[in-house]
Amino acid sequence: MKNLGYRLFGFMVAALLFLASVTSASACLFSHYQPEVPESLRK
Amino acid sequence: MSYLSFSKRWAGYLATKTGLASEKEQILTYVIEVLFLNLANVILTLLLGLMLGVLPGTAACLLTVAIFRHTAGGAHSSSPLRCAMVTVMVFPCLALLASALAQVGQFYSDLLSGLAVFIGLMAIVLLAPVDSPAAPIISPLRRRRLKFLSILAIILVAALIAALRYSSLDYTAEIQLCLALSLLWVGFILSRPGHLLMMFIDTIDIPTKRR
Repeated sequence: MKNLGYRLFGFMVAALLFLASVTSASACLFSHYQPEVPESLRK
Repeated sequence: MSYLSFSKRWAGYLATKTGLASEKEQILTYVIEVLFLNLANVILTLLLGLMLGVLPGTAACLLTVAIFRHTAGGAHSSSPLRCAMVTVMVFPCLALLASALAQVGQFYSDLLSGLAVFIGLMAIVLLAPVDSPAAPIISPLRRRRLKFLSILAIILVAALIAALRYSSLDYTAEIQLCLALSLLWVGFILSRPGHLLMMFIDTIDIPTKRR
């Protein structure tokens, strides 16, 4: 059970990191507020 | 870097659970904030559009502007709350305006659509992509790619406006005007007056606590 939870969190984190990489490729997203992009994602 | 407390908390929790390095935790904080704020803005905007009876128009405006925000960027507010105010109010208002203008007559709709495509195209050719200090576009290659995508997007929207002009489905006159007004908004938000408006909105004092 603990292993399943760990995998679930791992999957969630991997999906979020992938999304971060995708969203950082845009000029900005939809709204009129832009959170600061981390240095490692700036390109 | 300053992020909202809930995104820091959620990212911290996930990082602890998966043993993530602090650099990755910062990326998680960023993406959680981006996802949450954009989702909240979209839901609130569509709800207001629904309440005002202009849901299809609001959705059309949202979608059009989202495409251009992705490729062309534009002015930003410095606070999430002010941003939500602007986002939630602007798109239903554009849809309401389109709904009213659709009653005026096809000739004026066509005139406005032509003007909007011209102004949008000029703004994109001359100004896009417009970045912000929080998300600078560093690579010249990326800048060129975003400009190309913006021009492609405006050609696509112009074609869609033309197709809607000759369509006989429901709401087409309104949606045509929604797309045209969204292009005008895109042109405005890319320009200096759009940045001045956002700077003005940033000066509005919003009381957050009861005294």
